[in-house]
Amino acid sequence: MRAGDIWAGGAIAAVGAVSVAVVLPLEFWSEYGPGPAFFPLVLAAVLVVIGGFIAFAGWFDRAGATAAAANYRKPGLVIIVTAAYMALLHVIGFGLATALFLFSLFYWVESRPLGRSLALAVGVTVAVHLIFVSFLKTSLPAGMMASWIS
Amino acid sequence: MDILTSLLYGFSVALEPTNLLFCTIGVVLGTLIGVLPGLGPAATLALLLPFTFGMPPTPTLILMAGVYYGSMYGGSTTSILVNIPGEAASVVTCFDGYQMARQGRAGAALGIAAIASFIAGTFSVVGLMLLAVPLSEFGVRFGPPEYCLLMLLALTAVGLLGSVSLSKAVAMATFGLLVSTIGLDVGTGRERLTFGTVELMEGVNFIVVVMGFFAFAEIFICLGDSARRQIFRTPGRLSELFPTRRDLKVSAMPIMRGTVVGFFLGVLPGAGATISSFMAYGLERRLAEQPERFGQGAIEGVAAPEAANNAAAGGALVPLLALGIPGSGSAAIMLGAMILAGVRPGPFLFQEQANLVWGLIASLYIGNVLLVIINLPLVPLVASLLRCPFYILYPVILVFSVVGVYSLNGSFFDLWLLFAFGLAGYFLRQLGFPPAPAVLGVVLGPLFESSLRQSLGMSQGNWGIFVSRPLSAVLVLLVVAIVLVPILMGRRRPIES
Repeated sequence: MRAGDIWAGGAIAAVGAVSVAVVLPLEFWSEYGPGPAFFPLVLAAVLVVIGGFIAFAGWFDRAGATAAAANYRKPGLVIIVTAAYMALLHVIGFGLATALFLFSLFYWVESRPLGRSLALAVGVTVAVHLIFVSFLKTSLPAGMMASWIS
Repeated sequence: MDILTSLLYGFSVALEPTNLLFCTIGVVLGTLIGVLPGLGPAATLALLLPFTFGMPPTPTLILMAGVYYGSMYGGSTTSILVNIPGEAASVVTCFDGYQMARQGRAGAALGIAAIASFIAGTFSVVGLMLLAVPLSEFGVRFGPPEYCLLMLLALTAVGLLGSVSLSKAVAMATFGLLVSTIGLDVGTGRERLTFGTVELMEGVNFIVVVMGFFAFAEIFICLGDSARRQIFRTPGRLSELFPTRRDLKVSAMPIMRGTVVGFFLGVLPGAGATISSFMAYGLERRLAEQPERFGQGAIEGVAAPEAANNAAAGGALVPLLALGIPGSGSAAIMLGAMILAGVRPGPFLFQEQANLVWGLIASLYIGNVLLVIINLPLVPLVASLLRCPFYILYPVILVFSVVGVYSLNGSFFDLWLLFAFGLAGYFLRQLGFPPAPAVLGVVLGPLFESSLRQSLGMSQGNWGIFVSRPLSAVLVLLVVAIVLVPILMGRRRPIES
């Protein structure tokens, strides 16, 4: 049994099933040919079938898990910190959120010394700001705090 | 205009100071980013794509082509110095390149890789020039059914030929196509799969998907891989990069054979650089008087696959420019860049936008020369980039990805999509689901759907239209062959392993 394939197949089939349900009310065929539901409905149905097949094959696979167990701890931590970064960008803006994000990764995830983590976080944030805002004139999130202050 | 006149015209476009500057920037940036472990051409193109927004088409495409070639070259450097291929096509270079580095011949390995890349890259552009024009003239005869089947052919070939699992590749391609249907239906204006979200009405930007599946997922995967990375002494002087006379003599024929194999396999959608490099390596090993030297630091084992994967990169541009069909995941991103720049590759491209397409072709020649002139002296610098600890690199890459995606539309929703695709890409890739078919699905989806609906509209719902026309019947046979041949042969070859 390959648990990963069962979960992945199940998730794919679920995406397909939800898509079928959402698209079903749309017109499948019109007098001019295929309607707006035609293509997504066919694709969603294929996803249901193929996802089910992957899960089914994973369930009955006698070889079991073939891939070496991956290390999920560090990626997991980085994923959590990245999610927090996305959320913070909206609230406190690019500069502060990026500095916090980088500091968390250097100090908390990578266990680097406090001073070096702080210096790297500030340095990289300033460099990115200079490159994208000052040089490339890219617009970056100011954050809700900026509007509250002003 | 004949080819020579067109090429001269192309050089006049490519040698304009702005375009030359963008070509140089592309080559250098492509090498510098492509050299970072885990970031292959597709991820490099994806990272830089958002920053071309708003630029005119010609410099955009010249820049991206430079990035494409530069990152191919950068991938070989990591293979040789740290035994980490930048992408699947550079895996073979590790076999002998890394062994050469261990034997203190990193300079010769890097030098022959650069020479092979230059020769193969130049020949492949000649091939591109000679093949793309007749192919585009032929492509003018294509109607909606043929286009629909061409899309299916590209999806089938890229998805199935390069993957270990047929079902997983089909699932990813279908998922990509489904994502492409999100938003307002072009024909009727009806909302599809938007779940009432305003941000999804314009659809999902393919850059978000590419960045998620390649940049974010790649970083998460690298974080889980604790393999130690050892860098060998890198050449400090230019003279150390020159292979010996014997090296050059031994490598001459493998480079030529690798170029031919790589170009013709690169032209075929789906075969791409990975298969080419493996084929070229296998061919050299078979032809060698002492095959046991391969894997122990044989210079032919670096020269042939490097020539093949660079020739394949040029070959993949033939169907891309002539028919609008990308032959690989990286070419799919190039197609996306073209569409973003307002250029629609296909049979009419050579007639309607001759300055752009010939400028691009000329810039490929220039880019190849620049790669050698600029990058060889830069090898010590590039190698020092590899010494930059990964704990500093990956947060910077994550921030760059966020900035890149946010700069597209200034949308926080896009950032969450990026995160979601990154997460999905990470888990799916861990389970052996290939990302390229999904990206190809997102890029080709709109054209695939419109040509399918047009075809069925023309035939009033009769699916026979796909086999009743001679050209489309041939394409149907090709699709069926790609699906059935591996099954009939008993098992699929695990290319990615």
